[in-house]
Amino acid sequence: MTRAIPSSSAVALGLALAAFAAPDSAHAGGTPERWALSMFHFNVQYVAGGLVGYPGYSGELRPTEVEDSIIVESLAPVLELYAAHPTWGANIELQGYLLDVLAARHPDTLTLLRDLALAGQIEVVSFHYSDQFFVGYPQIDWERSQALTEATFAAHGVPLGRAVFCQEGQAGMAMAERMAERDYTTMVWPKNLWIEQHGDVVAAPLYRFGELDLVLGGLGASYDDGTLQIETTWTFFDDGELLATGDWNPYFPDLFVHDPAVVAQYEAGLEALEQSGWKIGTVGDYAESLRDRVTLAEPPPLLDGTWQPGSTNGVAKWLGDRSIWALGGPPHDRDNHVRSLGYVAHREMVAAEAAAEVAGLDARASLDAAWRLLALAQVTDASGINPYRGEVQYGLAHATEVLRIARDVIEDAKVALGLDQARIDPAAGTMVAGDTDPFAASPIDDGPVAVTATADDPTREIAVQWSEVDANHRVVAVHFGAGDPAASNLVAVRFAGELDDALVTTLALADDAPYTFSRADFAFDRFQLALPLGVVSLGPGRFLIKDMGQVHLAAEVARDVGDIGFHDETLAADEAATWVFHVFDGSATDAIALARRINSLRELVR
Amino acid sequence: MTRRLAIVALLLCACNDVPAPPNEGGSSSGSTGTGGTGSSSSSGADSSTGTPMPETVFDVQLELELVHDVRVTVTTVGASASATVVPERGYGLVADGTTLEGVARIDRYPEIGATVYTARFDGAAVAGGPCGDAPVGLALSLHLDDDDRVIAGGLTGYCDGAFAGVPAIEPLRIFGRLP
Repeated sequence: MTRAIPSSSAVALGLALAAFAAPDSAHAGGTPERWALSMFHFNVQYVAGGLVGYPGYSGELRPTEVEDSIIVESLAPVLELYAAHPTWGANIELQGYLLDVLAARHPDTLTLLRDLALAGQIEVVSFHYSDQFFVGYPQIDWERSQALTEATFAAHGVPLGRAVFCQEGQAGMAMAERMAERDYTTMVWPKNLWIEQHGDVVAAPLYRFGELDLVLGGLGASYDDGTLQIETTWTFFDDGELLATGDWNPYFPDLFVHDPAVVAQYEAGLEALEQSGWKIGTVGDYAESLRDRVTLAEPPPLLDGTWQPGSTNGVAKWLGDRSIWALGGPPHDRDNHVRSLGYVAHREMVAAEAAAEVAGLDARASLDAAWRLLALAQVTDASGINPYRGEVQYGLAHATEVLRIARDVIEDAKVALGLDQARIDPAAGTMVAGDTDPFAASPIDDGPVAVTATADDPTREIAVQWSEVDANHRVVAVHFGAGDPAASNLVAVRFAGELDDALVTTLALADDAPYTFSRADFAFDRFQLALPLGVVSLGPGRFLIKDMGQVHLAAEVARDVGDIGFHDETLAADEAATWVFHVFDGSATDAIALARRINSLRELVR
Repeated sequence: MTRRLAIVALLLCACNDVPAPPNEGGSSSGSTGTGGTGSSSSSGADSSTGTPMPETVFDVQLELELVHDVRVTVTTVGASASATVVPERGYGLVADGTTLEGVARIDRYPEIGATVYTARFDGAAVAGGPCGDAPVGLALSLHLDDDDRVIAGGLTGYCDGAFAGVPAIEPLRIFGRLP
């Protein structure tokens, strides 16, 4: 599941019929260049794990059956539409895994996709192998995933598009550097992630994105510099599954069927546009055409996020907010369980890499396969908008399997090195005898920051325990006891911060450096951050670090308040939880280094 | 579409099926939350011979793929651990109801206060299954947090008797609670 506002494709179809209400043509003379763009976001993990035990469907569809329906009912008809119009272009975004599905069971569709891509008609966009929640995990997890995607595209002979759009419209400013390193050229930034942060915007046709360029996805643009006029519109910017099925998605398997009439409607809209002089093109062609002819606009500072932050409370839908299913009943989702276990699996993987290296083991094949499983484990839909229990357990099952494989490698390394217990330091690349906790702390009566922990259910016991690693590094464990099974689920903690205009954190896919935002640059009151390394400033020279193995919930930051809050609506009412946070006093550089040691490169005792 | 989702959400209110703790699995013994690498379970011993006696860490019926059952038993003898898994449905990886027996490991994760139980099983080829004539390696991995009795993970099958690689099918999901 990827959608937050499920009516937008219907809007797109409506626009098609109305010749895609284009931006106003303010210029008096000349013929404007007119580009009609599209982004079909396909996700073969739309219902990760298939429809098994799904309360809304009495039958059973195994994972491959749901995948096959996505290909047959929604992807293939879109490809056939464009194959029938060789002058048209479109962007199709998909995870690398989808190509493996095509190769395994839909070779004709793979051939069609390949042919359209080689002809330049379809720009096949892919930034990750699995539709994973990469804004919430360490950079290396995405790097492994993206490398697998590149290899998958190469293996299947499909040219990888140079535009980038991602699952759930995930976007972040640091993607510019990662894209540049990999020959991507054009970021498609979802309009709502921009508007949520800065208010309404009149789109420029092209923005600067580091050394690259950026298109504001889903929002038409108009440009006139006196000699050149450009108009841009979007004919589709949504889940690709919805176009050919009349807006039904794979959660409704009896209704999720190809409807040729709705495809014909869309086709008629595009034909009308083409006859009116619009070029039905790809983002890549559009950006290439404009790059040297227009002045690239400068985007404002942009926080990491997803494409419908208004309806998903930013990233909180994946990190603490309950899903839209079973309203009034207990939640199906287990956000903190799923997301923290995904992080634990990451830690074990980087430790296993180090252990194998130190011990001289040839574990490459096992570890590569486990990285693939980790990408699947971190799929967005194991938490989020509407995961049912099957999707939640898909994430848990994959993560635990990653843990097993990685731990097997570590145990083999211990045997090879003759170690009974080992300290594995992935940062240093060492594995030595020992069992010392790298963050051993002594209990203290109180900490440097006021902590308010609350639970809607008064029967839950709450305990806050501080300890000290050193004078600048304190740890606080917040324990919520099990409550009344019939009571509300919400538990929360708030750290009192000192308001400072500077908000320091790290950006997704840039783990090695702090990034400082000015709160004054933003229009929002509150915003939810995933914090891929867990770190955010709590005031000048003070930082809060989530221990991601125990708490991976969204951090709520505010424009006019220095406090940082976390909440979980998905903790089962009769279950307990312990959240661990670190409070560090020092420089931003040291805080990020510590966050890496706590989270992404944790020294483990095994 | 919003209306459709709302209708479904309302329907689900009335038929929520969050699993109840499986209670028919017998008693759990042994210490599942302590110990280090290898076995975390304290084991008894025959006082006359000093021979370690088997200790059941847990013996529980859990959900398999949400709609079926799987019985999982983890036992220790001294520092060794073993597991027995009986999946009600085998999904082509094993015959339905097969009893799988294999070597287990009980791994402690002290930095998160959790234990992971893993085991390997050698499965025979299953005609018509995803591995065809090849033997199937099956791997169990279950995570248990110290804070709770929820135990979750999966049983993953690999062709050619392997225990890593691209699984034959998606990992089979296991979820439930220890007594």
